[in-house]
Amino acid sequence: MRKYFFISFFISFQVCAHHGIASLGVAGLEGPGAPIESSSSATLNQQGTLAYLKLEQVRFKTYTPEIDNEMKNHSYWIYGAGYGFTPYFSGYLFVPYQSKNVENNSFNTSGFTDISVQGVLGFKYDQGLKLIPVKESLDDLEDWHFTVYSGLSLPTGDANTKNSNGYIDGGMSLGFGKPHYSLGATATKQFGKFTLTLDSSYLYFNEYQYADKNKGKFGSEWRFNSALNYRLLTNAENKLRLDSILELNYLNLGRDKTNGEAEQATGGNILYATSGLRLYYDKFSLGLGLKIPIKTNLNEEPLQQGSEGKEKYRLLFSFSALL
Amino acid sequence: MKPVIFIFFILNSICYAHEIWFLDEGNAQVLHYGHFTAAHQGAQTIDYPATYLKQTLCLDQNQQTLSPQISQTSPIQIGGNCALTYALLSSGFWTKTLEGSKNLPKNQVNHPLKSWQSFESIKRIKIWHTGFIKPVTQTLELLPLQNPLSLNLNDKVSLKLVHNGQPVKNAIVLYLGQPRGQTDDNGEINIRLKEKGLQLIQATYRQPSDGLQADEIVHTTHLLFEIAGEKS
Repeated sequence: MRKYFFISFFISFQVCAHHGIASLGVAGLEGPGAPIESSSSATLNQQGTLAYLKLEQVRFKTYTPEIDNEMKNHSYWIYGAGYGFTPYFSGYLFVPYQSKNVENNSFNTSGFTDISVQGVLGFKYDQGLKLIPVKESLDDLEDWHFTVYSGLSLPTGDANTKNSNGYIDGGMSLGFGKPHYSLGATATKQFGKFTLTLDSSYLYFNEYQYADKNKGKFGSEWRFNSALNYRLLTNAENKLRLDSILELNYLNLGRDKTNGEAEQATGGNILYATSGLRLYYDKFSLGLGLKIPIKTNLNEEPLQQGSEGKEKYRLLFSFSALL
Repeated sequence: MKPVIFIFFILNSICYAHEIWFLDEGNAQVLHYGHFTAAHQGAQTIDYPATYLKQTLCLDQNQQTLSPQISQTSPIQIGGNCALTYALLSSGFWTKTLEGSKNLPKNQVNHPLKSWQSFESIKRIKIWHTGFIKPVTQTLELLPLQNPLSLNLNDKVSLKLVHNGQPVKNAIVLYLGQPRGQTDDNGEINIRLKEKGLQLIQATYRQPSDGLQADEIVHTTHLLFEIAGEKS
């Protein structure tokens, strides 16, 4: 069980900290498309409010024939809300809920985890760099658009979740104990029916001393995502649009540390492929995607069951609405 | 995300309105009415009475007013070497009824459903003058904020929509018959020129009327200019 200490924790944080979800869950019939997993470069309308929900179901590969304590699945629900303070600056609040289960159910956890806040600054290139204006025509939307975003979590979840024996496994906990920080940037360009999105982000974790006096520090995470949307169909009468989406999602995980020492069976590099569909209807957007690891280079690959790169699949579902 | 409401709104508001435009024929400009985009693919013009014409203006390249010869028959022909040519047409009052739309004011039909007074204008710029960034009439006008004749394919033209010289916000602007966006609070919008040759940009502004003869006045204006090359 020890090996899960940091490994599975990554998974929970990645989902709640990963920007992208909200800035993008919506789009117009002819404007740039929004990816499933990557962040695009859209900001909210001034005084616009966004409600957001993302569900992620993760199923891990298991390697032993018996029913033991191998990680079996994770589920994440992220409830979010966004507000457009200006046309070029949006703020978001995310409230994640997670459920983690091992094969023999010896240590399952579920509950709300650390909430996070995020700010997104949007700008574009149109005869020079400029902040996103109040209104853009469809032709303006074809310009290169960019965002930089930054956020932090608040330690509202329980970082010291214990099993029935009173054992703390940080990887199964419902919080990180201390804030973690994110910094990222995106670029988006529409080419006719295609939309290209590039997104890179970095996450930094603080060291936290658990109730059992052990200190844990998760390795930093660096992501590079690329996504290509294709507008399959539009129906203006019914305010309907359907996009197909292909993404490549690269993740570099730093090695974790326990009491200052590098933790075995943590960290590595993973390349995921995500394919999905996004349906837009009126002010609503529905995304569905399947994300699978296609290439991995984990630090101690045979020992990292339950870690990123060891999934059978990740099933992604998102819903957003402009209020 | 930000474009959601906006884009859906404009797409929901596609109006298959007619367009007006000029074509050079001999030494005159002929005023056509119909569907400009389709016209390039095979002429879809509609006959209209010459009495629709309410006002014309012809300015030379020094912004001096000329008095060109104007035909009294349809299609209307305007002679002279105009750097800027303007024409205002009105088909009068229209009232929608259960039996269809009638070319009559609201107070002259039974059971009116919806009524409006229609004004359509066109401004063609053939030779640029810096003064053309200002309105030349008090009607609805699309003003180019730079010399549009110097633009190339895929450049964006910045425009300002004004009525009585005042910016008109939230008006839908069409290019090649398709809505491309709404004007901002300053009446401005950018349109990318995606075809060579003649460029026709259209905007509509609806104004409440007295309710006696019509519920509203519908002003539609067109800006016509040409960029290098032929339309592909």
